[in-house]
Amino acid sequence: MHDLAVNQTPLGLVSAARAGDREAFDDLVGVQLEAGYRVALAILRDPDEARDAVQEAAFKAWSRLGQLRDGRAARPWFLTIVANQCRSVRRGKWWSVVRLPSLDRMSADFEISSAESADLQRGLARLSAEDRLPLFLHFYLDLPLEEVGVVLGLSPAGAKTRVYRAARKLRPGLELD
Amino acid sequence: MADLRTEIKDGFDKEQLAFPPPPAMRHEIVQAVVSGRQGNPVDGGRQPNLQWVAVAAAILITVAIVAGLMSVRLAQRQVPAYPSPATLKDYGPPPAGVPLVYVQDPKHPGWLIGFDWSGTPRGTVKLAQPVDPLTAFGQSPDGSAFAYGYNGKNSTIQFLDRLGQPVGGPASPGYQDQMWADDGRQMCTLEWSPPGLNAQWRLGLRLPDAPASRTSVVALDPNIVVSGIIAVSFAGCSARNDEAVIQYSYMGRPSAYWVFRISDGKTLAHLTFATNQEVNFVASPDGTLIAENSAKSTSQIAPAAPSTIIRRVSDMSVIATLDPSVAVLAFNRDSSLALVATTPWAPGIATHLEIIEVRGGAVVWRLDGNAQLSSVLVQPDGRGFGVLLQDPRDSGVHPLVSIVIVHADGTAKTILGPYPHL
Repeated sequence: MHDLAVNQTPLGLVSAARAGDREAFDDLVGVQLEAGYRVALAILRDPDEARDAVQEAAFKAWSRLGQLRDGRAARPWFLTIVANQCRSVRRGKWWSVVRLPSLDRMSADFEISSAESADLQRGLARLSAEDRLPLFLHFYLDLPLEEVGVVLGLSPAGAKTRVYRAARKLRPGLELD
Repeated sequence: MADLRTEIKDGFDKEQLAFPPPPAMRHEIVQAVVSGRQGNPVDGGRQPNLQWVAVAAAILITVAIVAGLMSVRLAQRQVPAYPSPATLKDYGPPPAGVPLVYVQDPKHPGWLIGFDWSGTPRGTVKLAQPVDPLTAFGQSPDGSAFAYGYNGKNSTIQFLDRLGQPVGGPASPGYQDQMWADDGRQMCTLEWSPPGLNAQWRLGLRLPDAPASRTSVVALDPNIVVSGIIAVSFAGCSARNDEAVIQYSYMGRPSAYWVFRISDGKTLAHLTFATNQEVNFVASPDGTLIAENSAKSTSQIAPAAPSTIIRRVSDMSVIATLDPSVAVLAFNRDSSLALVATTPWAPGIATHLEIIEVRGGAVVWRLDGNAQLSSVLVQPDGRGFGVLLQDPRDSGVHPLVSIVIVHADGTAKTILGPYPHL
């Protein structure tokens, strides 16, 4: 096993996966699927949509394995594909007037234990997907800002600004650490 | 900020705990990707790999073939030698007037089992001999008759009645194409006749045991060469509404369709398309709607139609615009619902399906498991669909299938196989 989350991806593994080696593909992408699903769920807020999105992202990842030869780390690379797939879904996979994220369904399943956490919960639910994504990547998945930047297509400094901006929407007046 | 970090983490945690990842997701997706994508990955993700083009071409050809067989599935037959469901028996002669869905009895070569649309086995058809492995065999929309033979250009088809007995004496004469009409009793026929210089395109209706009693000349281009890789074929035919939809294709890619009135041959509509933009056209059973499926729905890399659309035939207006990755496979009886594939319907990969309301697009049923669609039936006396599913790894000409009967309200009943497909 390789720590593909933060390190450059071994070229031998990429070559094996490209040749159809199931275990190699599993080592490269399979281990990222759970994180991918969680990112998709955070963006789409619908488990069925999230599962579809991560599967489609896996197919796309397979077709783009060559990108990893550039020495990229697998986790932010795959999460970028997932995020882009989710954006595509949100743009309206087909019927543009339906298949929107089912906020009510998600909210009904949440347990809100206190007024404060309820406020934050509602705040999170009200945030746009583009605001939720940096918060989720940085605070929930604990991705370093470098990786958040890769997924968002920004520099680490830009990623930090995006995280901060989104956090301020939850807590107005928040000062940057 | 540290407290906020904890609160945000907790907030997302609650969301995530409500919907954890499916237990087998990792295994299923990795397996699907590795086994489903035969072509090599693309270098650097920038340039399309020619092998993907080949894969896409193979998918296109397959989809075109399978789509052509959708209404009357005429697959090559062979004597099954499959494991048997435990409860099979002789259900007796199939009742008259009850629409049935047929599969082969895995225990008895030449026996067919008919299930009604509630999923109950209602009859056994005993053919005189086992189904020939190289001859197509399929049921009429309501299961009241069977067609036996290859439905190709100028080919012949032998019809069998509800009990499996031959009707009409010798095999019927050949036509350029024919398909079951929406009444489930007549065949729509397209012929180029009479032979010789005065030949014209003629559209007609006939009963299985008789030649077309009435034909009308239709304004298809007489210069269409009816051989080789060029073809005109039915995309739909409604005896009830007196309409037929004929499509023109080159190398399996349709580039035009016409809507004709069957009784007098009048052209009601005619649309042409740029080459390679569409993968097929699908008409509703009553001929009131036509879906134009973008070639993108087969994962085509080359430019394709930007959307899959549904038109209303009466004024040819677009009443629904779908993502180009979506293909309409069939409309239900009253054209209120459409069965669509949200992944390419191709051999070896799972087919994800949805049933949607044509007006508004609400999803009433969804299937996104690991099964591959084998074929589709439209409920003849209701608003549902019959979906036959197979293991994607089953590449036989008679795949083992299970039947899923989906009602218009989204409820479904599964008849677990394995049953060899007709």
